[in-house]
Amino acid sequence: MNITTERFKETARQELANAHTQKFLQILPLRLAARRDSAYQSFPDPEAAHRYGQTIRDEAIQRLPELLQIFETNAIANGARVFWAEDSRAANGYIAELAKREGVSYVTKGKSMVTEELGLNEALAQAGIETWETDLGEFITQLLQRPPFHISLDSGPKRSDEIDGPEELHIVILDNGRSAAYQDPKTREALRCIRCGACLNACPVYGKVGGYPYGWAYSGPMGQVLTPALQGLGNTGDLIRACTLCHRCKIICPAGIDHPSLLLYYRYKDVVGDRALGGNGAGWRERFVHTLLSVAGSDHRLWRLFAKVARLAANRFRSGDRIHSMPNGPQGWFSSRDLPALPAKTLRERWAQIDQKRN
Amino acid sequence: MKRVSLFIPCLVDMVLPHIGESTVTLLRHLDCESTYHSEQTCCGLMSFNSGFRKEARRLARHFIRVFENDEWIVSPSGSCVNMVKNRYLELFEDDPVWFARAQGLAPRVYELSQFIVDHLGVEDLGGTRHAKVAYHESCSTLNALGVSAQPKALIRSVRGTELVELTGADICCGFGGTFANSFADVSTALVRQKAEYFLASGADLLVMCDPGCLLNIQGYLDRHHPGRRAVHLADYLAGSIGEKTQVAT
Ligand code: SF4
Repeated sequence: MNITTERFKETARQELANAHTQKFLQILPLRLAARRDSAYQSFPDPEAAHRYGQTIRDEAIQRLPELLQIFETNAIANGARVFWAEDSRAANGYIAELAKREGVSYVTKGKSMVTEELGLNEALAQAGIETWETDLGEFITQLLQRPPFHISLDSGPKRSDEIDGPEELHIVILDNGRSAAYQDPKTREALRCIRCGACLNACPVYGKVGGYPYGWAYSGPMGQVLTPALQGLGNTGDLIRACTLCHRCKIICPAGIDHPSLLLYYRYKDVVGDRALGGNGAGWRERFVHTLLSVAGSDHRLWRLFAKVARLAANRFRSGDRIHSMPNGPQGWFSSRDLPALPAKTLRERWAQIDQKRN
Repeated sequence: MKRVSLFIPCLVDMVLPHIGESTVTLLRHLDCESTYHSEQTCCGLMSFNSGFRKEARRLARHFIRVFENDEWIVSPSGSCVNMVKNRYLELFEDDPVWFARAQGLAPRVYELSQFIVDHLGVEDLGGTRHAKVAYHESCSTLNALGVSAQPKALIRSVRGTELVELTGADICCGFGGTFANSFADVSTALVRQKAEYFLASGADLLVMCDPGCLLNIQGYLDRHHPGRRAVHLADYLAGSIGEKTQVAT
């Protein structure tokens, strides 16, 4: 699958201007959120169920290497064949090879984000094998040749006694960056995700731009924590910053992922140019601003001076009690908002006066 | 009489000082004496959120030194309180000494309405103000601190004030600090939505507990709906007890 994560802002702008997307977004996330709420209410104690789910995921991910071994042993004992794929090439290669060997000319495929991650449809097409999506929504996206907009609009699986057993069962266990993500206890947290999609529907940013700007198989907050963990920070500079840190995803996540904390961690790793995650390092302008802030903010005399300079600089552009724009100022802010002109005195400078009123 | 140490966010100090004054007014009304450490600067929230942890740590250490001997530390900003209460622990996770100092400080830091209602046990300030207001649930205040019932109880207690329903009250206003500038299109879409819901609510004023949201929402209203006002809870309540703080510019 094509990765277009680095074009987040551009795609977001297009989607904000796309009437269809906007109409869709006014309905879809709210509907899905309502369905989730009613499903939660079917538990006698929804909050306890929520916490219980988080504990299960926590344990499963902590024990992941061991559990995978057990899974392999059991699968083989039950007659399945297990293939460990290092990356998407290995996985696609194995599947295409298998299909060829068996003389398969077309395959049906259930909705699965991991096959999006692999780009399996494209890989099979290249091998001359036709793929049919069995999920209606996916089928339509397939016809449109677009990546999925949402991750979890599927119908439930069939009970095992309703279907005949297959002749051969092959299981591909995909790594594709997961072992590396597992090494770091922070990024490991992202592996807890069960792809339920709740965080997408809760996210104010997703609610405005939809799934495409995220640029890979995983969209919304789950994509923002998962994509950098699997792909590194190289092309995800905007992705990890496209968040107001509102915390709704964290609260709603049944797997107990702390998305805001993880995004803050990625930003930090990006700023310092972390090797393991492939951080980009910060630009000199930004570094200058934060160094200035931290130096001035460690000494209140410098801070006072800083406040005075900021006031003088900002108020040069005041018109009345407002500032409508500043050349070289924050253009994004001023594209839709004013700032108040800075008051003649800071609270600090007014304190003596305020304090007197008290006595 | 309780001695309360004022934690004034830099945004309030430099841009919206009337919120700080109103905070003092309310605390005085509740028989608390406000102290103000003039050594305080910035808690480091902006640097931390931008990924500049080394710089944020420097600011956080300064903050801890200034405040750590105080018994009650109160701030009119949910996001800054969340930074000091919760994020400092992440900031110092590899530094046991400062981690312990941050941990010692955390339980003594309160968001203003939380302090008034949960700590002082006051839900009615005895004020009067005739207005229809809506309440915006600032994200850090609601989702990170779990503070929502407190400010609403205080608003409802004001005689003559009607708290009306606000659609999407708990949806982000799109501020997010530097997000508002660097993702201006998305941010604008969100603040526009907030403004539209506010106008549709029929309220005269939109009340909130975070100066960041206030800057964003008022900035948008000034540009697109001149005359419509968002107001910080401290200013609203101070107005109700007859000590209206001059909204200075
Ligand atoms: S991150 Fe959590 S809420 Fe989001 S899809 Fe994954 S499990 Fe669901």
